[in-house]
Amino acid sequence: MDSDDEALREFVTKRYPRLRRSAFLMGGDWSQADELARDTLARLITDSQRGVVADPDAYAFGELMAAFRRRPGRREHIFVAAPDCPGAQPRTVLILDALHRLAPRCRAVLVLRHVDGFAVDETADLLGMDDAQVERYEAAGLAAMETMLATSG
Amino acid sequence: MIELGRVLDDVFDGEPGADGAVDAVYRRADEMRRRKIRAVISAGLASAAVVVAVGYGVATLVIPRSAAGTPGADPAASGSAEPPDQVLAALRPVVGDDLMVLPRHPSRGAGWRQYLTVGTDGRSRGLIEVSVYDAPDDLCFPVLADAGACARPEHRDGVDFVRYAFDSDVDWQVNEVIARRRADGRTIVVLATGERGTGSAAAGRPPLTGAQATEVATAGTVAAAFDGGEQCNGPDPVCPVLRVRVPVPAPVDD
Repeated sequence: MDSDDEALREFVTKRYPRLRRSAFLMGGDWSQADELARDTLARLITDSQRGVVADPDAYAFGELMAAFRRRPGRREHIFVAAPDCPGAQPRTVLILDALHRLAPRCRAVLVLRHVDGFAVDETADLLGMDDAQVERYEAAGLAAMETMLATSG
Repeated sequence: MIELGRVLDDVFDGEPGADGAVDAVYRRADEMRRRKIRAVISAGLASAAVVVAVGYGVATLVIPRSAAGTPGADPAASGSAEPPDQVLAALRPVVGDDLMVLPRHPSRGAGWRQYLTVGTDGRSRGLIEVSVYDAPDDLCFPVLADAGACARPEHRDGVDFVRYAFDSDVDWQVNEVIARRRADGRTIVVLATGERGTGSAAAGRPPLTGAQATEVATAGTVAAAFDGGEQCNGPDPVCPVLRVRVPVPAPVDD
């Protein structure tokens, strides 16, 4: 295994949990999140080996968010807790429910900015928006989350 | 303002384990790569099949029956009804080795022949149509810019001729030569039309240059290749549609 392959494997190992968490926040389902994270990283590996990936982080998170844009929307969100774990805590359900009442693009902005730690301009690039749109979505999303969590709290 | 990152951390309390996930990702990547290779190979095979099918179809259409008969059989020796094509025999040395000239089905009629040309790269280079007319002594060679004027012809070996070139539209480039023998008024028209709609001046260039078309049109062997009774003077829809029409009177029925 050469150094490029090692670096790529290290990237996949480190990013897999982060991608899966982001996918879970976007979709509310751990098994779906697992599937999407694996699929995204598998595509990243094949495209990296073809030499067409300039920025692996931008590629991975951009592809993940694009996958949610391609998926048909559901009217009702069902949050699935992992087996044998305390995932069904009422607080978890409340937070996810509040997050999923936001528009998908607004939710994507909050996840990329506050969970994955991307800057405003990076988030704008990943979602195909301009910086001002990202800032508007972020402010509106945070305010809405605060209101919803206070109300349900 | 809410600290969203900290709030969302609570959501991950029930996060399932990720054992073996990275190996699974790599297995999936291998599977994707194999699928892509299979798709590329399938597409290649499909393209090859299409090329073979198209090639077979084109060959069936353009190769005359005499050439496509029993391998090794000599049409002349076997008594084939198809006479040797003297126009083709005159064309081939003029175009040289850069182009293959093949009769194009339907390849001949009373007063005309048509040929497909194929470059060394296997691409079609357009059509050559040769037709014959009976023209009077006072034939007025058309002038494109003036419908009422007659062009002053050039002369070669007892033949008056005028060349016409159309190359302003790269998608329809034509070289045409009208050549009239003074001795008997037999008038040969050579129409060389480049491949249409290529969008490229080079790819759509006519298969004969003006000089080559002139050489063919003024060759005695070409005029002699047509029987005396053959001519396209009449409103025969099968005769070539010329870019510059020969202003000859229609034949009078006996």
